[in-house]
Amino acid sequence: MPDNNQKKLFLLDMYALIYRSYFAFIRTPRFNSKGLNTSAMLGVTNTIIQLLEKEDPNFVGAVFDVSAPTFRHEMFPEYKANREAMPEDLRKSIPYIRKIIEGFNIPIIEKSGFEADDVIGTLAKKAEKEGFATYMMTPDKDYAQLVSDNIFMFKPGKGGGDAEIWGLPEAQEKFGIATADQVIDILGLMGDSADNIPGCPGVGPKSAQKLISDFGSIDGIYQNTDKLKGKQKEKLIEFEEQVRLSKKLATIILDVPIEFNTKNLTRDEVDKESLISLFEELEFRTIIQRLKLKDVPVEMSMQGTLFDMGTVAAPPEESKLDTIETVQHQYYLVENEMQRASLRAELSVQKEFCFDTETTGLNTHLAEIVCISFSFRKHEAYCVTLPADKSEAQKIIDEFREVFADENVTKIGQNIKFDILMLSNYGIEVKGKLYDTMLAHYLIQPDLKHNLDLLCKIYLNYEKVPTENLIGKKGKNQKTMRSVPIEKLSDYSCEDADLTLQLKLAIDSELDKSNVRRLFDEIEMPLVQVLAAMENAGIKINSDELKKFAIVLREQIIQLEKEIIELAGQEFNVASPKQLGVILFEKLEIDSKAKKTKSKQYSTAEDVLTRLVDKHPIIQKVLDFRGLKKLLSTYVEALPLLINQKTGKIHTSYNQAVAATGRLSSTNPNLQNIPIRTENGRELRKAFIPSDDEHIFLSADYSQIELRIMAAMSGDEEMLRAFNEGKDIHSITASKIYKVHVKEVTSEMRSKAKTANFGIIYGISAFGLSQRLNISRSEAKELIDGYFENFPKIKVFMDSQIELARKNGFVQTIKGRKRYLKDINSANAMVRGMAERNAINAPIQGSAADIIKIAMINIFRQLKEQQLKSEMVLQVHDELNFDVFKPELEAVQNIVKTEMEGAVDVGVHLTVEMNAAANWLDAH
Amino acid sequence: MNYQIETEEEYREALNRVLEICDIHKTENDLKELYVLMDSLAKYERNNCALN
Repeated sequence: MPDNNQKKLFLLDMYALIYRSYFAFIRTPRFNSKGLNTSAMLGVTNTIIQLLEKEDPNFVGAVFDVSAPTFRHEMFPEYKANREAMPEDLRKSIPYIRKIIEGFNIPIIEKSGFEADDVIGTLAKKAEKEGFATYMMTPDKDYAQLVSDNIFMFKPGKGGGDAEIWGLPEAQEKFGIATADQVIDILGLMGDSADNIPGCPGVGPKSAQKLISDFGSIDGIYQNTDKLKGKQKEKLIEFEEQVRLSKKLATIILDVPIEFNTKNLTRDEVDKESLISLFEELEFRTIIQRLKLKDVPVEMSMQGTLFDMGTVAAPPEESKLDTIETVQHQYYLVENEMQRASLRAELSVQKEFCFDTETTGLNTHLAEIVCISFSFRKHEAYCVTLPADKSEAQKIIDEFREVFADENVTKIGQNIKFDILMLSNYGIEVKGKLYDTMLAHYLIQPDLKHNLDLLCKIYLNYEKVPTENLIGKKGKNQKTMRSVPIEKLSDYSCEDADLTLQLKLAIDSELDKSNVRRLFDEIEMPLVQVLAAMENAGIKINSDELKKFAIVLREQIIQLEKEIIELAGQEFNVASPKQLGVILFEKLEIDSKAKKTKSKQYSTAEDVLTRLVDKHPIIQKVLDFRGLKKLLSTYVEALPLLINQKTGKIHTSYNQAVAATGRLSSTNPNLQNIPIRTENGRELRKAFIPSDDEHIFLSADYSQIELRIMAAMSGDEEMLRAFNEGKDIHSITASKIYKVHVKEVTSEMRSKAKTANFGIIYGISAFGLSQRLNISRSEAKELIDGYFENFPKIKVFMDSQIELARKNGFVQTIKGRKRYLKDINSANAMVRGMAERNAINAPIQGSAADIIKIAMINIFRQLKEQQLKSEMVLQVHDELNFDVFKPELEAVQNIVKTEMEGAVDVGVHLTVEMNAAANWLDAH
Repeated sequence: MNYQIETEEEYREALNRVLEICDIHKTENDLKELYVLMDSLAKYERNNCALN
């Protein structure tokens, strides 16, 4: 180790550190409120802070690779050719990181034609001659070839932990070598998949170590080939040239034409102004506080900082957030009748209040409320506790019936549908305007997560008490809220209500800034009550039908299993991917290039098998076998288990803030994903039935809604006319592009026009069209040109959507729902192409979601106003399903048709098809 | 879901699947599959076709 008085030089391998930071957060990426991924910036900033605080180096340089071919590419064109393109998020981070480094006034070093490791190697060796101890800050093991008594590898610790320092002894131990330069020989032999350095086939780390230990170097091996044996000998001789090339590629060169001058490696005073501006944009508020870049409250500046030479390691960003311990608050436990009366009096004079329930579970149809908390002033909240005894609990809740029923008071919540459903179990109706912070954020930043913990961090710089602290981690050993000591529960619950109120105050103006206020007020919030009612209504399942169906499916599965075994020519477990892989790729030799997974077994994933479907009849049978097993386990066997014992129905849960398109999704069970393309998938619908003999199942869906929305959004007169006159759009399209009368359109022409119509929406190219229609590319191009000549505004619409996305970074639905397309200006044509297709398609999908949501709100209102017994029970994207009281069928059909077709006046006639029957299959 | 289209045959199959999905009421999985297929088709075209 160097002596303490030795001058220290730190050379940072920037891209290695940047990648490491980015991927450290890959499971929980960090975003600011504008949707910018800040993972890499945060990781690099913390690394720099930690370095400067702990090591306080005299001299430091941040070395970047230059994006130009180096001498290694000339030597070996495939060098690093296997590398995936830099993720778009990460590419956008680089300019920020350079600015951060400039803000810290750390010199940036780069040299065209050379990689960072060559620059670092050259500077380190030069510095050694000048008496420096050099630390190469990198996670890359290849640097071990450079270590000496004065040159060290400095591998940053994970998660803010201590760094690992490798000198010669450490490198000797890790690689099993005598001298550092033997690392190059080992790399030359074993290759490096990350850099696409081939090495010698069949030689891995252990055999490379053994070879170098026995012969000293690659040269030594080739001077002693007579001492080698077997296949290893053959391979080493056959690939000698490749091994020698690999060694050259792995060698860090030490003669880069770069001057070593301490003036160019001296860090200067931090540029506070530019760091503040950057960190504010990135929303690194605690780093601003930590570095004392601005005046900060006393309690926030207790920890040592970079500037007062403290020695505490930089903690992760979260540890500097406010918590219940650091913020003044008044949280009250409301336990007796007098206190409850006083709280009710306070609530009754508010314009709005926030409430939150803590429950014994997350299933709203089974759980009980443990406490309800209320907040109507920041940092102040009240927790009303409920006893386990249901009737006692009911009495207390009843005291708040009028509070919740007050139409003039806005109720605020986070995922408020859950609380509404919980209260409905006690017969409590929540009336008046609703405000859900989760849904507000969903409209502002549809691509991010919307949980309270995250929103508090982003908008309030606050870390709430984790639920785990009260009831432990998720799983069978998790406790229930009922077991939590009352004081602790009260604080937790009050904090939730208080934070949700604060969040509403912080986030509300963002609805206006993002121009989604009307969407929030007129669609998403009114829909909450509709979904709550649908979940409560539930849907009846014919368990006997499912049992019969299960028998049929099991028979089909057994039959397929037999056929697969017959085709395989031996007994094996068809359900075992491992055994199946051996049969398909070793016994039947279906694909000589079959890939293996990390666990060294053949991949038999669906996409792999789908590609091989024409190679052997066994493949389709395996796919069918798996499809049936999935249908059986996911739905046919699972649905009866989800039937609520009290209601005899299943009660799916709708998620309003999951799909960025604006569509709804559902869980427990996911009824949005029942396969409808297969006979068996359709058969499943037979089990969904009306609630009793007095009811009938009504199913209504929009016809060709996507094409109609495209016509409406583009304003193309020709297409609008075709739809509004009730004509067959594909025939009209064919008549236009083939210039024939509509009566002369053949079925082939219509089919081609249909392909063109769909292809346009999803961005099928002229090549794709030519392949599909079996025509030449020039004919396909003519067809597309003809299409756009006849429907000119469609082309304008498509181009303008892409243009708008490029300019604004987002596209919008007819009701202003935004879809952010962060890759729309990507330099990578492939990535950009995906975003462009989304720019056209997302507004169409999203507008369809807007339309059906409005229809649902209006139908719900009509059913209520007309005091009908019939209920809306299920929404599956373009389709609504009802449990209709038979005498009301005509009235309900009228309401449904009127409200669905008239949901939004977009300038095109929306057509609804509907049918009533004894089950979903027959009604559809 | 990860479609790797390497041959013309696979390309045609993917194309057929796209149009099959286009013509139905799409579930969430259908929509996801559709986007993945379109991206895979574009990738294949980019690597194999002069006309895009």
